Amino acid sequence: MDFTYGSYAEMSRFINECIKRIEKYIGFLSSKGKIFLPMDLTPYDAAIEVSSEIFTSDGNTLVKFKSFFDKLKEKPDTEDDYEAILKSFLFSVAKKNLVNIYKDSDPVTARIIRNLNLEIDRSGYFVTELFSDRFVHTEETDFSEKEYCGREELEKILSAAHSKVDFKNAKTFLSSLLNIVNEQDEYIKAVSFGDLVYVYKHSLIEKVESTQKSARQEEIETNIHYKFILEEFRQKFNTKLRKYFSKKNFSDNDQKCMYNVIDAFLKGITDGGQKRGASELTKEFFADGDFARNKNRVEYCIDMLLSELTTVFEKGK
Amino acid sequence: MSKFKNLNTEILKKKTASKGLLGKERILAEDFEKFSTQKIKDGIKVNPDSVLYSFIYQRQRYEMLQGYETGLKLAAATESASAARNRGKNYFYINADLDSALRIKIKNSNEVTASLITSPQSEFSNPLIHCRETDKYYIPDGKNVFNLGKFEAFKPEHFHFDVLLPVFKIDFAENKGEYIPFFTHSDYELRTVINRNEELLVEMSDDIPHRTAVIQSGAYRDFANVKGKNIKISKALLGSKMSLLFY
Repeated sequence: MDFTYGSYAEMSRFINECIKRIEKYIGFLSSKGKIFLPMDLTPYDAAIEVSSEIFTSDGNTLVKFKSFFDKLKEKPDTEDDYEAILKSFLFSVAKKNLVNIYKDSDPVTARIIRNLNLEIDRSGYFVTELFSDRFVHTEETDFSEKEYCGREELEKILSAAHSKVDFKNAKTFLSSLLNIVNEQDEYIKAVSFGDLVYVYKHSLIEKVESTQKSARQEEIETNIHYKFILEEFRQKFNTKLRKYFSKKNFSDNDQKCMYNVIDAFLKGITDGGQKRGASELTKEFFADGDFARNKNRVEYCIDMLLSELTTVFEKGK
Repeated sequence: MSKFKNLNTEILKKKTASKGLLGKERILAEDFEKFSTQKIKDGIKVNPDSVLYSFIYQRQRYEMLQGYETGLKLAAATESASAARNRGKNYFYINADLDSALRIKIKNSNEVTASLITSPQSEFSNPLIHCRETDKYYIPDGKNVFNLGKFEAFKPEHFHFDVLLPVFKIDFAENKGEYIPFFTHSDYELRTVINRNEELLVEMSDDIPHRTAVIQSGAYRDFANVKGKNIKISKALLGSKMSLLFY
């Protein structure tokens, strides 16, 4: 297991086998709504983006693989062990480098991921890597003790404790969010990294809401300015939505349902109304079809909307 | 510095508890094993015969195309033609099986361009056009228009066009000056990729059955310099994300 190959072709075959594993892993997480791949990126493209750094070679030796396996305290005894360790290494790299897939097409998400990563590292939080994600927590945790709350339940928990969440920056956000999670006893006291990113993006809603409120209090021109920004935003976002519909072969009816979802979600934001979760919106607007699949699509579109809205909001500041 | 622990290896080895979040993650990992056995649609077809599509000149005037049975997109082509009636001459070459058309537009001084009109079901990725009479391949510009050059008098019935899609693709990712090749086609192998000062030399283990190859590096797109098994890419064209497409 020295990861030295007899020929370049042999090494290249191994590299492509690894890429296939990562591609399937990313495809799987994406199908489960654990990550939202940018529209113009396939799982194969994403696999290359997240993993190219580990294929550094010296001659026909893959040095990063060699170093990882050399440092293992318990070497794999069986083929199954080796396969599990290899996959664990590849998936860990994929999760660590997830930011790479957003760099070009979704800089808002890329920035959120980078800031959260920096803060988690700087503050010395506990990070435990499981299969689907990395989980962040403040104390040693037994992950077999309780179940995870999940994205929507987390949002409910945070919403109920609204005044305690401080979205000012990554530092205050993480510490206040983890405090709230620690206060409850129903679920495990940890949050998945993907959900941290999703919730942090939602924090922009608070900013838009507060901007709207201040706009109402200020001069009427300011109010008109923000309305104009949001109208322009909606038009641009519809173009992006149409591209997504075409790519995912949305039926005319499904397109109408999704437009209604987006309208309702935006209305909640701009009118300062109650934030509505993906499940609730899916139930209301997608009466037929596979609920889980539709909910995934709703979550994807809301995530896309939040990235775009953040960009518009920041430009309008 | 965060305090990191990796439990994923244990999950993948099925050695973790089956309760709580660990139990859920274990089930998810088992679902993934089933998912991994499914074939991934790689988007690049592998049979060279299946990726060359002939487009046949449609003699009818564009008004008559409205009655054509291929549906929405060709109707749109007709509309475009009507709209463009006063701006230049348009000819349509049709592939009815794909519900797609190639619109040839005669601009000033018989400068000829082509553009593909496709239905959502037959969206082409990285297409090239081949003209049988000139035996030339054409790459689209950034707006997906193929510039076919100047013709003394373009007679549409004398020309035949084919659309080609890639049969094989190599993606390169740059990591600290090293170019790492990625490809999913199991029939071919790379013998070597040499990073030289002035160029990247790619040597294939077998001649890939291809008519032509294109290099894409950022916005740059042009025909690659392929000689037998070897492909040379000049340093000037190397980018952090680069692909070689074989047609």
